[in-house]
Formats: sequence, C-alpha cells, structure tokens
Amino acid sequence: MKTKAFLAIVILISIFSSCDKIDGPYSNAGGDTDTSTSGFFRKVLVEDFTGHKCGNCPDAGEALKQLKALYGGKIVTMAVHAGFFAEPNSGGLFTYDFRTSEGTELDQFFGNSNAGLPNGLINRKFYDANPIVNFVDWASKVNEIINTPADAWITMDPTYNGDSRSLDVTVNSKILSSISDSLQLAVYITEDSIVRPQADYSLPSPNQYIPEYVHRHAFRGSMNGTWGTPLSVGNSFNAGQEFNTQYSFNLPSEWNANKIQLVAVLYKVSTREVVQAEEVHIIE
Amino acid sequence: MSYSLKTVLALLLFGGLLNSLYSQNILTDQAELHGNFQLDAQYYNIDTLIGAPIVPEKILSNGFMNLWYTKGNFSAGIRYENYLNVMQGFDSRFKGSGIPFRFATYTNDKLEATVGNFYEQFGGGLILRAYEERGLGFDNVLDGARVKYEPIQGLVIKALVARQRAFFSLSPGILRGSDIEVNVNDVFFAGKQFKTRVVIGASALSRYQDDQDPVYNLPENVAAFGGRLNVIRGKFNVAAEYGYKINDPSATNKLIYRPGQALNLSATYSTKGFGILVSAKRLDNFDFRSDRAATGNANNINFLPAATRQHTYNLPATIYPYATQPNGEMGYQVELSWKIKKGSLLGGKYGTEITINASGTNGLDKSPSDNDTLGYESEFFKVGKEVYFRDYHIEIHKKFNKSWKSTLMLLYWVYNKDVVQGLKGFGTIYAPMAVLDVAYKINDKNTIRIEAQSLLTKQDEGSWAMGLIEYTYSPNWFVAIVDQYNFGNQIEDKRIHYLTLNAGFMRKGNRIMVGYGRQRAGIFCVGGVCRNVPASNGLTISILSSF
Repeated sequence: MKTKAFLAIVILISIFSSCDKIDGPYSNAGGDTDTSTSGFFRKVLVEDFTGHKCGNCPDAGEALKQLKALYGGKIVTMAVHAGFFAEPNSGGLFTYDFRTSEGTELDQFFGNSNAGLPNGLINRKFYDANPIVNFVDWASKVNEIINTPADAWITMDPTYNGDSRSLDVTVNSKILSSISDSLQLAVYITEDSIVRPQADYSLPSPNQYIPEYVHRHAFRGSMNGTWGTPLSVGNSFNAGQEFNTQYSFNLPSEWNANKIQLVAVLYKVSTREVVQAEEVHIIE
Repeated sequence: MSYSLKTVLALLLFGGLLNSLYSQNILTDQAELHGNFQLDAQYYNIDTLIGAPIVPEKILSNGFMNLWYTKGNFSAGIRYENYLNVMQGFDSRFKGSGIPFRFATYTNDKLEATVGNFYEQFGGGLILRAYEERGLGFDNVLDGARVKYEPIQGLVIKALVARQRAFFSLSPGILRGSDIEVNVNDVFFAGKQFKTRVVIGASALSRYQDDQDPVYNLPENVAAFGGRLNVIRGKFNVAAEYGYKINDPSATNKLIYRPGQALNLSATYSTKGFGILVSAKRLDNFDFRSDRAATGNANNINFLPAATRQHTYNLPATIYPYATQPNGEMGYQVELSWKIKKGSLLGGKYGTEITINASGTNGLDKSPSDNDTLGYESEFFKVGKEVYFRDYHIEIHKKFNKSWKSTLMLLYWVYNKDVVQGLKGFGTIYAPMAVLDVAYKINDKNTIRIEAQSLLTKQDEGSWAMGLIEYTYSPNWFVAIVDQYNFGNQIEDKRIHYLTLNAGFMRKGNRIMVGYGRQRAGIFCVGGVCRNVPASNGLTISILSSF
C-alpha cells in the first residue's frame, strides 16, 4: 500500500511540475517581426499611461522605444499622464502639469492609474474584461495582432498656420472590410520631446530622478473630445466606403508646433476596440 | 467571463440530479442550505481639504451573496458579487457583477473531488495559496478541478489543475500542482506512541503561460517547489518551510531570469502562563503570479506573510503598516508573553498579562550580476544594510476588578516608507507610539470603552493622536466616535481631524452598521498584503446577514 502510494506521488509530482529552464539566449533580438509597410496594413495604438513622479515609468518608455524599433511605422503611440503620479507638486522639481481633462477621463474609464502605473492599452482591446496591459507584455500583445489584415485605412492632411497657430485637418477614413458596428473617430494631439523632470527608480538613491528627461509623445488633448465623434450615422460599414471629416484647433502658445503630432483613432463603439490608427506631424 | 442564470440553474439542477442518484446512500442525510449576504455602500461628499477624489456616481457599493448546499457527501455552492460601481480603494477592474464562484464537491471515503471554484493552500502557502480577503478586495480563487486522496491515515495527496480568478475573468496562466503531506507518526509508526510528532510535506506547482514576446525568450512553464517540516515535542513546536522557483521573468521582478527562493523558520515554546516565539525568514525574488505581466494585488499564486505582529489598534494598524516585499527581504520576530500570577503583588486579583515583541526586516545584500538578465547576486545568509521595518513593543493587559480592565501598549517603529509603499522622497519614519485602552462595565448590559493613542514623529505627515469612545448596549447595539488628529503636520492647513461616528445593530445572524465622517488616505493591510485607500468623506452603510 505504502509503495503504491509513494509511486503515485512520484508520478503526480513529475506530471504536474513541468518547467522550462532558460539557459540563454534570453532574447532573440532582431526577431522575426514583419515590418513591411507597403499597401494597407494594421497600425497598432499603444497608449502608455504614465506620470512624471512614477519612478518605474521610464521602463515603460524604454519598452515603447523597443517596440518602435521593432515595428517602426506600424506602431502609433501616446503617453497619457494621469492619476496620482502625474499630479504636480506645489514646489520642487515636479511642478509641471502634464495632465489633461481628456487623459483623465480615459484613465478613469479604463482604470489604468488605479491599477498601478506604468501600464497601457493595446488598441484599447479588452482581454477578457481587462483592458490594462503591463508594459512587459506590450510586445506580446502587439505581436498577436499586428500582422492581421487592416479593416480600415486612415490618412490625415493637416494645415498649420504658424502666425495664428490655427490647425486644420482633413481625415480620410477608408473602410477595407465590412464592419457591423457604429464607428467613432477621435483626433488626438500629442507633443513629442518635452524636456521636464522625471522620477527614475533605476538610479542610485537619493537622486532618483532625471532633471532633463525627454518626455515622448505626451498626450495634449483632443480636437473632438475624449471619445471623438461618430464617423457617420449607422452601425454597418462596407468595404470601399470612404469618409472625409474636418477638424480645427488653436494651439496654445506653450506648445512647440514642430513637435506636435495628430493621432487619429477609429474605434468600434460597442467594444471601444481600435480598428485603425494613424499619426502625422502637423509640420513636415 | 460571467455566468448566466441558465448556468446557475443548470448547476443547481445538476446538484439535484446527483442527489437523486446517490439518494440510496444518503437517505438519512438532511439537505441543508446556508449562505451569507453583505452589502457595503458609501455616499461620497466632496472634500478637497483631505484630497478625496471626486466620485461622479456619488454612491458606490460592493455586495455579494454566498449560497452553500450540502446533502450527504455532496456539496455545491455559488457566489454572486456586484460592484456598482467599485468602491474607492478597491481595484476598479472589479466593476460590474457576476458569478465568479461556483463549485460542486463529492466526497467518497478516501477521495474528495471538486470541480469549479475552490480555495487551496499547500503548506504555509509559500508556493500556493488561493484565498479570499474581502477587506482587501482580494480573491484569487482557483477554477478547475481538484482531487484530494487519503489512501492511509496520515497521508494526504492533493492534485489540481486550474486557472485563477482575475476580477470577473480568469488569469491567463494555467496552474498544475500537487502536494503531499505525511504525518510520519501515523504512516510509519502507526499504533506506537512517541513523544515527538513529525509532519513533512512537499509540493510542486507549475504555471503555463504562452510566450508571444517578439524579443525575449520567456519560459512558458514556470515551476516552483516547496518542502516543509514540522516537529512537535511537548511544549515545543518547530516549523521550517522552503520554496524554490525557477526562472520567472515578470513585471514585478523587471524581467530578470534569476531563480527565486524563500525560507520561513519558526519555533515556539508554550506553557500555561508563559510563551516564546522565534521566527526568521528570507525572501528572494519570490513574487509568483498566474500572469507574468500582473502587478498590484492581483493574480498572486503564493502567500508571503510579514514576519511581524499584526496590530489591531488604530494608529499602529493603519498609519504605517508593513507590507511584505516579495522581491527580497530578510526578517525576524521574537515574542515573549507571560502571565503574572493572581494574588501576587503585580498580578493583583485577576493576574496581569505581558507581551514583549521585537521584529525587524531588512533588504537583501545584493550585488550586480555579471549577466544583466540574471538581475543580481545575493549571499543567502548575509543581511542587507537597508532597513525596511522595525517594531519593538510591550503590551500589558490587566483586569482590576469586575468593572475595570485596561490595556497599555508602548511601541517604537522604524518604517521605510519608500520601500514599503513603493514611493520615493518620503524616506524613513521613526515613530514612538502609545496606546491606552480602558473598558468600564457599568452593569451586565452597558459597557463604555475608551482608547487614547499617540504616534510621535517629525517625518512625513508628522504626529498623530487618536481617541475613541465606544458605548455598547449588550447584546444588540453599539455606538462609537473615533477621531484621528494629525496635529503634528508641518503644514498648518493639514492638521485635520478625521472624525467618524459609527453605530451598529446586531441580532442573530444580522448586522447593520452605519458610519459618517472622514477617512484618511493610507494603506490598509491584512497579513502583510496591502491596498491603497484614498481619502473619503461621507456616509457608509454595511449590512451583513448569514443564514
């Protein structure tokens, strides 16, 4: 009886304890990623929820940089500063307020800062019921969808008047395969390379911050509200349909027009999942 | 994932079917239905002074009901939960409602089989502990199948395959695990009497999560192993538990491939009137989750309790509570407790109980690894220099006569806020504290209890005082007024009174509590696991009923 029991144990433990010990190489740099950008292809929106007082957030910035290096123009990015770590201090280093009302609304809807920063959204896709993706998982989640065929294609044609600082854009959205849902188009504004302090816990104590950190792709607001506006009435779109929509905005004087980009996001209303994204500089 | 009403009905019908199938064996057994219900709700006022976040819904509530059905060898149950919307301080990913818990179990002689959801723990929980802690908004219940088998007395084998709950869905990792516990006396020396009893246990758990990463070569199967030993001889009890985890690059360890280790040692000696406890622990890269990308209080597979005393008095429990640092810590705890005899000079008529406790936790001694991907190197027995936590305290409990009793507690704490709360710029807090608790029993029905507490520090938010007056009208009613006062805050405007008024009514299985007032921002911990609680101001209602 005892022998039998112990035999059973040995078998059980060996069955239930599979493990993969990795002895290197730990990474397959260069990888097998397809970065070809001919014809129509899917662009994936990666939204990095961050804060200047979040000392682990520069790691997510690195992850984003790595993604850009891997997939190039197939990745569209925004860094949304929101929540506790984005709050400005009344004195000291972190006095700048990166927050926006639209960014805060997105954060409250998806629950990012509440779940602990840094984290992000990949095409605003919900995995089961959870849209929040930790930055270590961004590459995997992007990899799962990036080579699927595009359902729509967006082009933007911005005109910017440097004297009046007025910005106009025409967005062309072309449906590539039929979609049975209402579609909403949001045109966001990001500013790249804002030089401001950033906490960084990877640095040795006590000066765990970078005084002149380059904040990439900072979310600045929207031309048509947090959730955008309907692409067209109806909840059924067919391949070949095209829509042209116009938006206008006046840039605050503080923003550097040379670094301003527009990010167009076309998404399904029922799931909020992004169908297609595009980004463009307002000054070429 | 959510379950429709149909699923529930099907489950209950299935239960009924099983009942009739086995009815010949269990005709004599009475079917029983038990359950409990709880609803917590809060109305949130706007209070910018304490920095309470604005709640657009104004009212938020969390609720659940458990239903347990047993008949003979069969049992089944479900739990419905709703978060409409999630109360402040709980993870907002709970938003919504559904049935995250349903199970059926059949027990037959030596075998117990469960399908659906179940809670489980291997040994002390070092490599697996599925549990629920409502106050923390934590529930990592497993969903799958489990078999427990006891072929001979004193030998228990468990095996399971499951995924873990993650809010209203399941975590991506698939867990496969087994555990064996051998009561050496029963199995090898059945019928013989020894003064020493020995229990040994071993377990293994493996998580499968696919690797989609285009850059890193991530392990898809990550296994952890645990071993434990418990020796009991008379008044002595010695326990040791060790855990080892192979390479598990994850979000919490910043994708390092270093294996993890954990060791818990404890020894106790207790006689009537005297007890001693000594424990030591070492954790190294031992955060284990069912999703390598998870952070925060979610998807945890194992349980790593803090090697410090769990305090219940308000200021020690809520201002600077320690949270276990799974990525690396070394700690110890020593506790002496004794009772001075009745009738002696210090003991008085009823005796006096004294407890002295000291505990401390430091970081690991780390040096950079030659290979960046392996993270760091650390000598097993070398304690790191960085202090995470110290708690030295003495507690004296004395009953003076039939009406009066009191507890006095004096504490000195060192709390590394940056490490424990994952923040920077707050530094280390040095805080002596004092607690005085006096209860006066007016007569059989009426009791008044008063607490006065203080925490003195120059760091962080400065000193605190706390006062409580509680009146109990036995057995049904109580009313209490509590004030936390941040009188030592450097900023004059922040010397705030956090005043709350609470009242409760209890009768049979029902309890209703109402509270009104301010709640300070802070962290709330149970067993070294903590959650952030934002400041709030408003009316809270809690209704609990069990049947």
